Amino acid sequence: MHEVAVGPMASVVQNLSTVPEGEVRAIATYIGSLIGPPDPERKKRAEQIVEKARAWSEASPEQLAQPPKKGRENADADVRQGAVVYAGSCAICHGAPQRPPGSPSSNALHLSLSTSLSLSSPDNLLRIIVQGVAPADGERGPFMPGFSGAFTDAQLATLVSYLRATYTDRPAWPDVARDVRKVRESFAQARE
Amino acid sequence: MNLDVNGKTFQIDEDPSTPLLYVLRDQLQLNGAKFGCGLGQCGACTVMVDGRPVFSCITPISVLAGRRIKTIEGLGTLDNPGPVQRAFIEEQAAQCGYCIPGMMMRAQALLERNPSPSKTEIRRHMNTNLCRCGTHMRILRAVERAAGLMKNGGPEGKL
Repeated sequence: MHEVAVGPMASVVQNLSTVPEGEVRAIATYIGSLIGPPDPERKKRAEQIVEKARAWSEASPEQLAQPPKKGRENADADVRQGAVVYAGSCAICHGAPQRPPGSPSSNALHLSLSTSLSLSSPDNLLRIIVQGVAPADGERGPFMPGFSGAFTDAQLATLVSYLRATYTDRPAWPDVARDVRKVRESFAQARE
Repeated sequence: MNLDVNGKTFQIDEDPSTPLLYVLRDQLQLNGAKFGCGLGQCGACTVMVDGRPVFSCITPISVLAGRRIKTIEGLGTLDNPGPVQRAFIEEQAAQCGYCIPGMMMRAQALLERNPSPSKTEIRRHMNTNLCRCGTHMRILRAVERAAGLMKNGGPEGKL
């Protein structure tokens, strides 16, 4: 599990948490059979992610506070600016995930495990940053504040570029400015 | 860098990742916005940036160059409180009062964008701000009352 379920999938995951585990596994097996067996490269990547998750669960708080791949964050001006935004807005939760159990950010996702950062478009990541994550009314669940009013479009673009460069091995997203505009417009329409 | 707070320009010499809240309180002596959780989860630090509510505890000053910041001190004075402040006083919305500056700034942002919000819209908008005394019902009434006051006097509350 490398992502927090939000939007329309949140209630699906919420409901499945009450279903016997065998049935959830059966659904996963069925979906896996539709996708087919992974190619060797994909399989290798999956094993690396599992290894990373294991290392993370055993790491010290000091190790966890450091973003991996120091140095790549100096790639270009956008990424450098994004690093400052990350330090001021995100690191308080995501940079120090081993808080005392029960503290509000003790379950913040370690970003090197985030699926959103490795996808071919930053749309999901942008949606999470802009809108935040909140449980349904009256339900318990993960919470992340939205940053819709805090960041300009250009600042959002620098932040996601920094996260992509720092936490993944993937190439930079090609047109982040366009993706930011698209996500902002979709939220503006949803409000009307 | 320069910060525009309540219409005045201030020269700030701090690390760019410093949260706005620390600069407001420690450098500018604008102590209305409060430190609650430091994680953007309680809303006590809420201020407005370009008319939108933001959590100042997790907003670094690096993103604020050239943008308009408004704090509770920009809504009115003791002698001449703004409509949101008057409404909160009239509804006695504060118990301990720690969350109230954040509540007022979030309400102000709503009412500047939507002068006639429904009860549901008010609840949804105020959702991110917590009051541990449990005065939420009075706070919701105060926001409705503020909407009425603003209709008579405009968002700046000049009657």
